Amino acid sequence: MANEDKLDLVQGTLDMLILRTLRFGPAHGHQIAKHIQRTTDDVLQVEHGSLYPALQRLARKGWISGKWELAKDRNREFKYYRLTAAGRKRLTVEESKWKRLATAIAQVMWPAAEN
Amino acid sequence: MNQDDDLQREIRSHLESETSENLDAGMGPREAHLAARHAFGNVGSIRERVREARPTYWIETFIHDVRYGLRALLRTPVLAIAVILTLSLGIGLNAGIFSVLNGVMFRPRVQSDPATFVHLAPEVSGPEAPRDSSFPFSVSDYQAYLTGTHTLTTLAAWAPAHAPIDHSADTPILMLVTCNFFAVYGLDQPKMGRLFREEECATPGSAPVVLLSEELWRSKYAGDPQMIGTTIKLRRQAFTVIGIIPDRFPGRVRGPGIWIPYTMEAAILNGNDLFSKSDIVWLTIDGRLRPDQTRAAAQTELSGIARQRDRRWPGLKTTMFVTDGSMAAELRGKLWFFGPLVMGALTLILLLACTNVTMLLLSRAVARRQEIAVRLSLGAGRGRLMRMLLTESLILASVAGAISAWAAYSLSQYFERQFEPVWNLKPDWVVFAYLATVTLLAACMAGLTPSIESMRVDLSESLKGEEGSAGAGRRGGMRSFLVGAQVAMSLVLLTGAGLFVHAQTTIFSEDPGFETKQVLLVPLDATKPASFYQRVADEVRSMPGVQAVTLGDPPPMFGAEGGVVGDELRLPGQGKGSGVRASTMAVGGNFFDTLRIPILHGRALRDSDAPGSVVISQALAAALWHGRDPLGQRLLGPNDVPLEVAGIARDTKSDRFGEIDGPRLYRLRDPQSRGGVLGGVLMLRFAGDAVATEKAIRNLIHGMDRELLPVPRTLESMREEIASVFWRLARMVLSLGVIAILLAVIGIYGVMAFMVSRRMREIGIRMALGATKATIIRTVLASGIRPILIGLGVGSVLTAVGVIGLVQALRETPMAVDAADPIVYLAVAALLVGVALGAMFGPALRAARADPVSALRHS
Repeated sequence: MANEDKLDLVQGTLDMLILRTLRFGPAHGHQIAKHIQRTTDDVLQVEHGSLYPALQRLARKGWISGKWELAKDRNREFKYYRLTAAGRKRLTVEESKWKRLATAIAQVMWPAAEN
Repeated sequence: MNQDDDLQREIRSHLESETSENLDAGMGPREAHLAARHAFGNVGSIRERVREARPTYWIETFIHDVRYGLRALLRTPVLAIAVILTLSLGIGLNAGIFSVLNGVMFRPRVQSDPATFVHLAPEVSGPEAPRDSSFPFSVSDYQAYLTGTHTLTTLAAWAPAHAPIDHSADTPILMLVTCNFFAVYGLDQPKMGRLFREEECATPGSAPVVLLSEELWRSKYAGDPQMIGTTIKLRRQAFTVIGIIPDRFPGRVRGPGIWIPYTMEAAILNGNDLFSKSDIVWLTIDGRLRPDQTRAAAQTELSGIARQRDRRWPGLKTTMFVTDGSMAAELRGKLWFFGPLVMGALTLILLLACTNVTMLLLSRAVARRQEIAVRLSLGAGRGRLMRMLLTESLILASVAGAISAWAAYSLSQYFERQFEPVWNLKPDWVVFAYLATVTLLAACMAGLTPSIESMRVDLSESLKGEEGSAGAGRRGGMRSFLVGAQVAMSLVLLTGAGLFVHAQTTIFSEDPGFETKQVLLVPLDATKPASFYQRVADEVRSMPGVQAVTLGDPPPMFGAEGGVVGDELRLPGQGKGSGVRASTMAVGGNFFDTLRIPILHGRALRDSDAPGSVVISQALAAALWHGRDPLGQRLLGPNDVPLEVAGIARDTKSDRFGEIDGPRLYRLRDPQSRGGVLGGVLMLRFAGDAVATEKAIRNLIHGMDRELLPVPRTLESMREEIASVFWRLARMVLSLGVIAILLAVIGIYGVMAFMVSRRMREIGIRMALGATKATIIRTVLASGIRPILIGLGVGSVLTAVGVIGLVQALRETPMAVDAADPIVYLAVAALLVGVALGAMFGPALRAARADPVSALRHS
């Protein structure tokens, strides 16, 4: 039943995606899930629930911090996560790592000759 | 749990947001809710994943497992109690005996700074070598080592003795010590008064001062605070009490004891001056290392000094060992068999206990498969389940371990009371580390197989509840193996116990070759002139009821600790070293008559004989003359003294129980002799009541000299006293055997009962097809007898190995076991088979009595 065009997340990339999402400012779990889905045009299939173990993990490592806050527009509390200084640094590391990996894979898959 | 609530709230909030978004997108309320759930995934499993990621997850699940385990165990309390008791028996016994062995064997007998404590243990060989290796040093040796050493800060010498206080009947252990003894043993301050001063050990006989142990001070003097400065009499010498040594000080005496300067030895050891005769060895030496030195360095240095001292006697060779003062180091392998033997037996008990527990848990494991199957199908991980099941056996073992810790403590206390209280047997960290290891191992051994067994589940079969007797072959094999192992282990233990009990009965039943019941032995002080002893002998002879009297030098019989070397005897013409070693006894003319030792050939000794006349034992005659008639033949004693054989006496059995003594030479005692260091003995054969005669003799001698108050004893009571030590040992081994057979019976019964209940359906079918009760019983017994027979076979091989070890271990003791006697083996095997059959019979009978219809329904 799964759509052939949809991809499962590569192990470990969810962390990076969360950190990247939070760079735009604090967000709660649902917003993060929606953002990832939207920005990848629904290609990346994230089971919403799997976000939460990842959030816990990142919070424990001190890269993000979570706090229950009142939403501005609505009269409801959400648990907002924000990037910490350590998380910001971590994201840069992850990004450069990912870039190198992507380049390397691209070079194997589509060698310059074929380009 | 706050964290869980937080997560719960977050998830709810997420689902609400998603639902409301879906509503906005135009879905119906129900649809919106379901879509949100679908997008989220399995809430339960997400929560579990979050929990798993927590660092405290391990502890949390452990607590869960423990709680679950406790609940499961409480549901089957009888099983839990049975398992705990069985394990406690195995572990507790093991740890208790280990703590005793640890205390006796591996601990130096000092409490303060054992790292620098050293004990000098020389091995001396050569013609002039002293016989007693426990007290290998003379006063001049001590002084030579003390002045010569640079690796040791100090050396202390000591020797134990006994002396009655103020002529009363109790004779506490008395220690003759150098004045720095307490410094070496780590005592700075006495409880009261002062310790010895250096100058009190300067001149022999100059300082009659004594230190009392707190235990003695409390028990004998009611803790009198005015005790310091009073005098007590030890033998004939008055000693001033200068101090009280605190309770439980480990200086070679625990409990009631006294210490005096070693320079006062003449007053205690019957006037023998061991300071002027400076080559008599009687001391043991301990010391303390300099902080920067090692035992190896000290050994090298002291060996050098020993070599220099060896030059005084041609052929003397001393090999010096510097040890940590523990018994294991002291024995240097001589009795090393003993530890492994005892621990081996205990390990067998532990293994027996573990196999029993395994079987008990195994039967439950099978009953539990359905539960496990449900858990597995609901998505529980196998590793997680395994941990859960193992936690249960860990709980059981921990409870057993706690009981065992208590058992180890009380067992060691019991042994401390049973034996001379010189050892500190209190369990230390070594014991508890051992206990913990054993407990953990036991938990794994007992728990692993059942846990694996519960996990071996065929999901669909189990859930349908159709897991029956089919396919039980492999598992049945496991059980047969356990039964066989139990039988084998029990056989080894029981044979050991049987041999001990057999040896024990021979001690009391066997004729030692001389009269023991009607012979009194009266130890005499050696400080009186020889004529006094003659007068005592004459007076005793004229007493009513006394039939024969003789004087002898060393207390005869039971003196030797087995394997006595003795003096070398040669035939004329034989070179030195090629003769026969024989123990020598100096006896009076009436000796053979008094003890009723038959003279087989020739005649007994007479007081009028020339000093060279001797009587020899059968064993000596055989060893020297090989069957030729030795009567009237000459032989050479030590220092080439010519001797002539006047008669041959029958062999006796006195040195080792149940074994004929080695070659023995009886020579006439020097009538002027007052006895050796320990004094002589008067022996008399009497008619009538022993107690009355003992009292009459005591009064008679006390009347002749007010200072003498000897304690006469029959030879029989001395024999029994020595035998009782071994009876204690035998009882210990026997109780191990009884425990082994108990465990085996419980185990075999358990297995059979379980197998029968598993096979109920099959039995029902057989009965429905017309099998008789007898057939059923026979089938059940037959299925159980095979592992028992195999166990017996394997067990007899193990037993052979064990018996060889046992004989080796006992070689250095006065106790001998008759390993060649087939009665013991046959009896043990028969007992074991009988007991095993008995254990199987109950379940077999139950199977035969079963109603076929209900048996068929049983599944």
